[in-house]
Amino acid sequence: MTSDNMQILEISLTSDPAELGKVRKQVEAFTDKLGFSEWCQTQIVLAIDESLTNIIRHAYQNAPGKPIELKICATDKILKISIRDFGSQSDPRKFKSRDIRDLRPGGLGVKIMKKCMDCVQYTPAPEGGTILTMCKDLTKSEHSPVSPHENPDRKLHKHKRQNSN
Amino acid sequence: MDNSTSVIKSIQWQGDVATINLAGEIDLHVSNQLQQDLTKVLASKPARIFLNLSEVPYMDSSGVASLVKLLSKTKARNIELALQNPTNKIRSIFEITRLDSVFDIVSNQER
Repeated sequence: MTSDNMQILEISLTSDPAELGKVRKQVEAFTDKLGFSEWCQTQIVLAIDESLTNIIRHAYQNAPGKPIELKICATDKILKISIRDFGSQSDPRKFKSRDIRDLRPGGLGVKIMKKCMDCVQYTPAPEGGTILTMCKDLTKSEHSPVSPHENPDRKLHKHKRQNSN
Repeated sequence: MDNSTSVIKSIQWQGDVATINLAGEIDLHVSNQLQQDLTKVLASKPARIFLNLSEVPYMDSSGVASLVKLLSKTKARNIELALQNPTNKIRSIFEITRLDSVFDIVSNQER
């Protein structure tokens, strides 16, 4: 995969917690196809899951059936995730992580997103709602897709897929 | 228990020690139910709880939050709580949130 060969996954879902598992499976399949390491895959899935959970709970206040649009673009250098909701806008300055000694839930999702991704940015959408953008630098060694030497089967799988396009 | 979203597979008692076996992915869809189910176990007044996570392949922050709430309740009642046999993936989520230092995480051999 090169910069010219961008891979894209787009998913439209609604604000129903039962949808989260299905989205995770689609993202896992997408990142698996690209040959990402298990750890890199885990981080991406977790960051997306936490983002969607926050949207359901806060932007839509647990109301089901509201639209969410997820788009993932990946080149060999960077993976960019864009998540659009149409709910109430949150002030990102209020998203704070708490001291771990303060044993109350909350604030964990944002902490996980920031740990798993290299950038996390909230932008108010002009028509209402919020666009969340997250990116991951795939050139960092700990983020890189698994090398062909580590797992030749994955390289084969990826190679076959590219040939079929 | 609401079986449609319950991830509690079984509860084993040995005296006043309860081993709660969880199975399945824990996310926003099931975490509220899990929290309610775990609170019910406290009513039986265990001295110690082992939460077996060996069959939990995935947990998000809402699942972690449910366990944080359980920990708060057990501390208030002087009940010992230990997370047992988490997979590497689950362990890493506790490490990311730095809650691995707050929970007692054990393997079978440490019981």
